Amino acid sequence: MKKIASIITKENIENLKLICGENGWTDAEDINEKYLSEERNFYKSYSPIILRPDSTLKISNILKYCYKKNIPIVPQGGNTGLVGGTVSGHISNEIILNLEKMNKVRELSHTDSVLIVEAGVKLHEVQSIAKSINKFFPLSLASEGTCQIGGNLATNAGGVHVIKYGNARDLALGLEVVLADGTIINGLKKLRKDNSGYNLNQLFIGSEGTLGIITAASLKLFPIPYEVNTILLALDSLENAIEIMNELKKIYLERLSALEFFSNFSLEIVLKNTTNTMRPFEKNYPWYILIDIEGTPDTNHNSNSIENFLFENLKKNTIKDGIVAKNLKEKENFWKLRDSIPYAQKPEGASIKHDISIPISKISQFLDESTKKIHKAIPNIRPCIFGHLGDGNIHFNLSKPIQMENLVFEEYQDKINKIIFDIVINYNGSISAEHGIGLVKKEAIKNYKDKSEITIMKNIKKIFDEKNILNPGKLI
Amino acid sequence: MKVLVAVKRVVDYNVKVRVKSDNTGIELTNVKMSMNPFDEIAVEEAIRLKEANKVSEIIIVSIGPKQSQETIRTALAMGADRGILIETESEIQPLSVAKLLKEVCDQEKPELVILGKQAIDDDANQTGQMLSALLNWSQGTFASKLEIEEDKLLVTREIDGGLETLKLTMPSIITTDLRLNEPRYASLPNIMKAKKKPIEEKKPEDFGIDISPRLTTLKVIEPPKREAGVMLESIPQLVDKLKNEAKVI
Repeated sequence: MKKIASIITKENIENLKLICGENGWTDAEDINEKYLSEERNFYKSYSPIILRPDSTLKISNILKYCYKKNIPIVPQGGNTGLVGGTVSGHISNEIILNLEKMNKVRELSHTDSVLIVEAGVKLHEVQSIAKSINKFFPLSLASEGTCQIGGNLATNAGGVHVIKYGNARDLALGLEVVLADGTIINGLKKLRKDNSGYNLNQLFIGSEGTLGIITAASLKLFPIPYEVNTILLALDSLENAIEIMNELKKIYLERLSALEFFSNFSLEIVLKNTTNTMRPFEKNYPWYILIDIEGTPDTNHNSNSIENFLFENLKKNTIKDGIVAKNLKEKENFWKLRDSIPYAQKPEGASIKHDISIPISKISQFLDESTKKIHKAIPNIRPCIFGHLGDGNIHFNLSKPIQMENLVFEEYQDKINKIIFDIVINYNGSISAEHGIGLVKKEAIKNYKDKSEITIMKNIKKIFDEKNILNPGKLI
Repeated sequence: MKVLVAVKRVVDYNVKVRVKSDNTGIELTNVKMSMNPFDEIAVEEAIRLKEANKVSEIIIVSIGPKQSQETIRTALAMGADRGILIETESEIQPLSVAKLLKEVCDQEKPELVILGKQAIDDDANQTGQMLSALLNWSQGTFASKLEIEEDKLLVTREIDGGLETLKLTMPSIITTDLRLNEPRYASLPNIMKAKKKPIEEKKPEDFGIDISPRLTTLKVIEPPKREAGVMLESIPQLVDKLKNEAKVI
């Protein structure tokens, strides 16, 4: 892509302030650190002003102006991304456009099972709005208290319910998008079927803000699941975990709504570094799986049949131990063990993280091979392995050896990435399952994604953003 | 020594309850039901006493609909020995519960009865005290610590001024407060064992007790909605609001 050496003048900033109106921007000196830092602490943003417009029209006017003046824009939601997708000032002078003030509910329909919200509504708010009319919005991830629905769609977020409900992509019926030149595309449809040409919405979802700015979305709502049974199992091998999972999928079909796994090291650091956690089992086991199974109206039947399945496996020794949540508080406790893993890794020092997906049949082979190879590269490295077993998505994170300095460990990043990514590609996996590409993996996809796919992606980018003013330098 | 623990099946503590549109009660269809949290603490305490060899048998009693059997089963999976279900579909108030429990105590002759200090559905906080009066046994309510010293019970209670410790002569009634302990998880092997533990099924009539309610619920309504807060510009403005709007100063 052609780089534009943008120069942002005082006059530009004054004009953008006028467009955004009172309270619609924050000056450089008042900018809160949270807009300029990012989750991984790899990058620090530079932006002479943060734009915080509260209407689609204002966003359209901002882009019309920026298009004319060649000013690049970095769209930003809750800023919880893990690949530096909302960082500004690294490719050229860029301005951050934060969507938090786009926080209105446009429509809520019980009959259509549709919720139309603006991009800045937080994910947990979307969940509670759905709940208020006895509906369920299934997208759920660790950062749901902070992340925004616009960002979830722009990055096609995954989370814990993909196994049953799909990614963010599967939950949007339509979008409202502002293009690079300020054109507003109103695609806020509420239809479950619409074969009327290319599906542009799906192109914007997962485009990481490089093709347009998502300003509102029409979301699919679901019936609230019947009483969910939450079970934490301890196992001595991942092969057994996968076998149990396949059995569960066969018996419970789409009632299986989450199936997460984590290693003993992951559990240990959570118990060590997270307050209010309770050790689930007296002994340690190599692997744990956390399962949510949605019930049916006949609750008695549910728990009995699930328990019988588990008892059989306990007798066969394919399950070593297990606990069943006897109330919602315990369900929360079990999930807290899983959700806290990424945060519990921070006090353990520098880490190299991978968000990969592998065909389920190859997961144990992959883990064997990659763990061996990285231990060879760095003895005493501490793998913190967890993820969404149900959809083959592994967070293959590596904490530094206890004795090693952070900076020394970070030097190994490229070497480790190459080891892991080579094995991933060998098993026909993906080097980015759900976090996206952003800045962090931009170089890597050049080597690990099909060349002609990359060419087509570049051509698409040119059609939507010939001047390269939308989140330049990210993804592609 | 035998211990009797009473458990009640209630709407799960973490459920946001909704009032029925006709104001006769709360919505119970497709709502998660669990053991009353204070009763779970009572079960845990009994199990700890048994693990410390102070207690030989733990009997769980529940009074309520058929599904209360699941609640008893949960207590058995935690480690209790056997259950008694007194099945009734009718509304049952603390006095009737206390009278039924007295009958069970007369039959089973426990030296200690542990109950939750209150059930989170009606928050009555009466059953333990009523049972103590009916049996004429000593009572230690809102226990935050429980010790057995020879034939005496030491019960610590959190009161306004600090901690108060009572010495009780058994047989006794104990009601549990939140900080007494943290209940354990129910493990699969224990759930499996619990399936084989006996639950005796009875009806209130078997004890010749009239359980008809003495109190009538007139209506159940939602609490008033909290209004959104406002950001004020200055302290004088705050003083003005407190004086003229809230009328508190």
